[in-house]
Amino acid sequence: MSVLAEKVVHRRWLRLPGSLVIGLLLLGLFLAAAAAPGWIAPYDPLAFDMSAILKPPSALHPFGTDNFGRDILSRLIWAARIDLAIAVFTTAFPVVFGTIVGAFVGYYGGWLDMLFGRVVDLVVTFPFLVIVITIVSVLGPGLLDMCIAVSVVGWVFYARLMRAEVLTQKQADYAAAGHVLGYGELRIIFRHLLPNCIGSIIVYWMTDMALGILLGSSLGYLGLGAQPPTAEWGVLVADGKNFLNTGWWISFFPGIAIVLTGLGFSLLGDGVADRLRRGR
Amino acid sequence: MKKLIGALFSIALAVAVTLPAAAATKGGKLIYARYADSLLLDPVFNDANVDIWITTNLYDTLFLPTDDGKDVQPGLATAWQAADDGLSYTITLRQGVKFADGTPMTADDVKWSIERAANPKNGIFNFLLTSIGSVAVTAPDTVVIKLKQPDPVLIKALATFNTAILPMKAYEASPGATDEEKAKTFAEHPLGTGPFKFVSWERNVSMKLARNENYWRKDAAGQQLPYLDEIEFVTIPDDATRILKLQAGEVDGAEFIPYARVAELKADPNLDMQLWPSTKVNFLTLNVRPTFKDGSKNPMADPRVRQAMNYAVDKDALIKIVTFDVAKPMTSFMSSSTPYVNTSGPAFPFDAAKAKSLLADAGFASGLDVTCLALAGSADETAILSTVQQMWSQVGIRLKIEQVDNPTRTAKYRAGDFQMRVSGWTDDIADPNEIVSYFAYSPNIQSMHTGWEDKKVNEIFEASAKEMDAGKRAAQYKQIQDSYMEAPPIIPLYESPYPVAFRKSVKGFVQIPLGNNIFVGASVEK
Amino acid sequence: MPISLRYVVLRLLQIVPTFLLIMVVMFVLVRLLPGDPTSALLGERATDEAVARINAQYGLDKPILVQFGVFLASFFRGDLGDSIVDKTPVLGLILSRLPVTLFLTALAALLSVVMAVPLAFVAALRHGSGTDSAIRAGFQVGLSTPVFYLGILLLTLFAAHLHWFPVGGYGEHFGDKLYHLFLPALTLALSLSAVLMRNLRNSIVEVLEAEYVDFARAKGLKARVVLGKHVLRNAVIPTVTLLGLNIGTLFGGAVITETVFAVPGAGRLMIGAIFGRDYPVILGLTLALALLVSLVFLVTDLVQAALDPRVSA
Repeated sequence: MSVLAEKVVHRRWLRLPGSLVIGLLLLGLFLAAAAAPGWIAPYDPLAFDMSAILKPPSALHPFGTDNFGRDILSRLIWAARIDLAIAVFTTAFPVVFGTIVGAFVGYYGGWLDMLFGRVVDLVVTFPFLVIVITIVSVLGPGLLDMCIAVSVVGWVFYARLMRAEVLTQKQADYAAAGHVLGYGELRIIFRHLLPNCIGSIIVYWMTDMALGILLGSSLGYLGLGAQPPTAEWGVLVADGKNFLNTGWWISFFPGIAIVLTGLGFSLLGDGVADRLRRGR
Repeated sequence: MKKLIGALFSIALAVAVTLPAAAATKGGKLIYARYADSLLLDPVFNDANVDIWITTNLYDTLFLPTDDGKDVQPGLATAWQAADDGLSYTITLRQGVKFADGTPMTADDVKWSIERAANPKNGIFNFLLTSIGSVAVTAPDTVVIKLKQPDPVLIKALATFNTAILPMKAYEASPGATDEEKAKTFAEHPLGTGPFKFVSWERNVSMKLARNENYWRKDAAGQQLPYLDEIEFVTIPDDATRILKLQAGEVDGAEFIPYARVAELKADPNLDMQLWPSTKVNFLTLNVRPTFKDGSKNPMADPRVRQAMNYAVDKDALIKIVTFDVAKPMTSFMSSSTPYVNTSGPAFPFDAAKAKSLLADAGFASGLDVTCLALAGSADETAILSTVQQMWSQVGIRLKIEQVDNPTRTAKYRAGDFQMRVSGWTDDIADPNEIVSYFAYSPNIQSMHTGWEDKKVNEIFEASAKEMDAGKRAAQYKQIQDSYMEAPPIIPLYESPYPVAFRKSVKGFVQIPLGNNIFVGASVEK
Repeated sequence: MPISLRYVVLRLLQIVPTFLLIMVVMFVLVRLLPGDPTSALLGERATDEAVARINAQYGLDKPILVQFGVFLASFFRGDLGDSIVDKTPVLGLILSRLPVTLFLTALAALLSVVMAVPLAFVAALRHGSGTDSAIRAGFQVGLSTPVFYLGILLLTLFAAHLHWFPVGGYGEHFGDKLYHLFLPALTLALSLSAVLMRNLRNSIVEVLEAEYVDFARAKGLKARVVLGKHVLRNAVIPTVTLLGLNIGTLFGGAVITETVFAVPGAGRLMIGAIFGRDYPVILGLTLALALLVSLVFLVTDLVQAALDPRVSA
């Protein structure tokens, strides 16, 4: 890309659309909670309080208490770091590994592409949740194993996306120009193709992070997620399942947290997509 | 759609009510929601409550448990007589009993069924009948059971589900090379003398039973039993959904109501929330071998540590938090419904200071770490362990919870590759011999796979299996319990009732402490 | 664009190696699961002899290669074996449970299209406005709510309280089944429709902004015609592809939905089989699913080929 074009793109980034700002604010809120829960949370998230079992939201406990008398707001705040960690660690390996593999497969094609096609078929044909449950059952329950399970399978989707993007971009002028100029293939892939394809990867990544948190919730429903007494939004929602009538707040507030985080990621992703589309 | 059905139903109801029918007869159709479906409806080869609680409605045993579950009453047998040497029992059979298809029950069916149940190769419940040598038919209405040794519990064992009487000819005619294969095919269309007969079964959806017109029993007023025309069992695995269905009136009864919902359902004017006393005990099982499977030293091998663990749990608080006061504390490792249970004082009353000093004596003043296996997805087990985790942290025991699924846990447990686990137990027979043989008699399954062994207890147990004097037997069981509860390889938590809820229109359901669902006297009022 | 028979046959043949690969992978994977079906089945009280006996009966004590050989042999005879837990033939189980899940996912797919398409158009035509944000936020909430929570909420409100729908279950004849499956399908559809809606909206916006639409408009074609022919054709293709690709996700959601709504489908069967280590059922069901998903992909590819002149078949 020419120096002039790069400058133009850079200036446009400074004017951010409203949705992007909201997304950043939402995520910022949860990031703050994740960074310093001890400062913000009013109570110890693990402390039982026998005198305050299943209390509705009040001045003392803004989000109510659960069946052990634990403060929901505090548990929610402390869970933020766990859930953001889930979002990051279920997607970190897939994004990096998948993008690189997809770039190579898309660029070189040939037998690499055929092999990749078979792997994709294999992974995509299995229902995702079933594979994750199986792998978690083999490795043992807990968040680390969940992240491993998701990573083992998840990279394929990024690779496939990247491959499609690369195939399109491969035909573009600047790639041909790069060849003519005698640039090495790796340089073409990493310095020129990758940045242009990264847009849809980022958008997909944002959605995927929210889905990672939801997966934690589904596994929590089956008992294979975060182990007690660790507070994690998804498990908090699952725990509240038996208290919908007597303690609706137990599931409700963590559910809101999941929704808002998902919204935050999604707005961020859409904002980035909008920016990139205009920048092209 | 629902309104149309509702309207049609109302019309039918109005018509039915105005007809001069036998208005006083109870009856109707009962829809009962279960949390899991049955697997194999064979009294001998089944291995789960989901089967047992259904087979007791399809089949009868020679003797039937009384409603309080503590004694027996005549069933397919009307009388019994023990020989003086205690080595044979003469059983008089009821006359005129027919199987649900009308064929008469004969003494040959009885002989064959009992011998099949006692065969050590068949199923997992034959241990209750190890004293049986052979069964002989001496008259069309008499069988004589010859024993290898005196058995004080035989009659009670003949009230347990695995000794149900099946039709020998029909069973042997079922396709299958081995007994187990025949059991499988026969169980697809079970045929018994019980109050209900099998109609149809769509797995994991619904099972239908209908009244057995040939049933031998009448109620106290002389009316033919059972009252119900039909029972339909539907499978609803999710607790919340099951209760919703009950509240919406789509089912008439639901089992296994979570403790958290009991108070709510009690307050519902349309529902009858029933808590049936049971032999169900809940406890934590500890591995007490000197080392764990990986070779590391096991702190729980020291009896002081085990005592400390017991003293550090505030059972009353736990019962309040986990079961919302539905359960009761225990005095022994057996439930209060089990005969010969020790009743002196609660087991290990809460004493954190004592726990700490015991731990210090054992060399763990700085605390210790232990991991407990829990069943993934079980809210009860999570609640129990979270509470115990909290309580133990006050005395320096750091508990880690590991949720695993059932096969993983069972495999680790049976191999002795665990530190702790949550466990439950229900008696199958109204006698303490079964629970003791599993919990304290090490040759059986190493005392619930804990590795606990007390040779004296083993001797007393073996003697009690032949002791015909009730008083002496009671003393033996007191001794066993005292020895076991000194520093038990378990932490008894609470005994819990069976929580079943019905619509107010359902009457007469009984669940005995052994767990059997008794529908014979149930009816649905219109 | 005519689709050649050669293409279809080629694609069908491509399924075979994938199939075999799945068979091998799954066969090994399930045996990596700790525990075994027998001890899970017999429970904690069973003696070691009882466990050994049952293991021998099912051939579980033989070396793994032998077991695989036995499985392959019976597979090519059309016999998928018997369920260890239920003791009934696997094929029968699959044939009775899989159609239920198919019905559920098809209904969910239909509902998600019905919800997503019109709103995607509205959002795209007014993109950047408050309406657009409101629609996108609304779908985002649906997407971000945990499936079981959504299911229980819908059940509680629409079934238990309002009595508009039955509380879970399946039903007898077709109309009745449709009635029973509506709420669970809606639960499933909400997250899928969010994904569809977003992608469709983005595609439509891209098309609207693209040069050729301006060009067509400049030629004097009416807006509606432009939309109808060009936008539809170029936006529908990604939607169809997306729908096909997400079949796997739908099935995953079906697993939880079927448990909450007590629907006797293949999702619950699969979970029960995994938790019970019922190897024959896990394998048989995986293969059946693989076959179905492959067929779905083939169909979406064919539809895509038919719609998009740029793709040759």
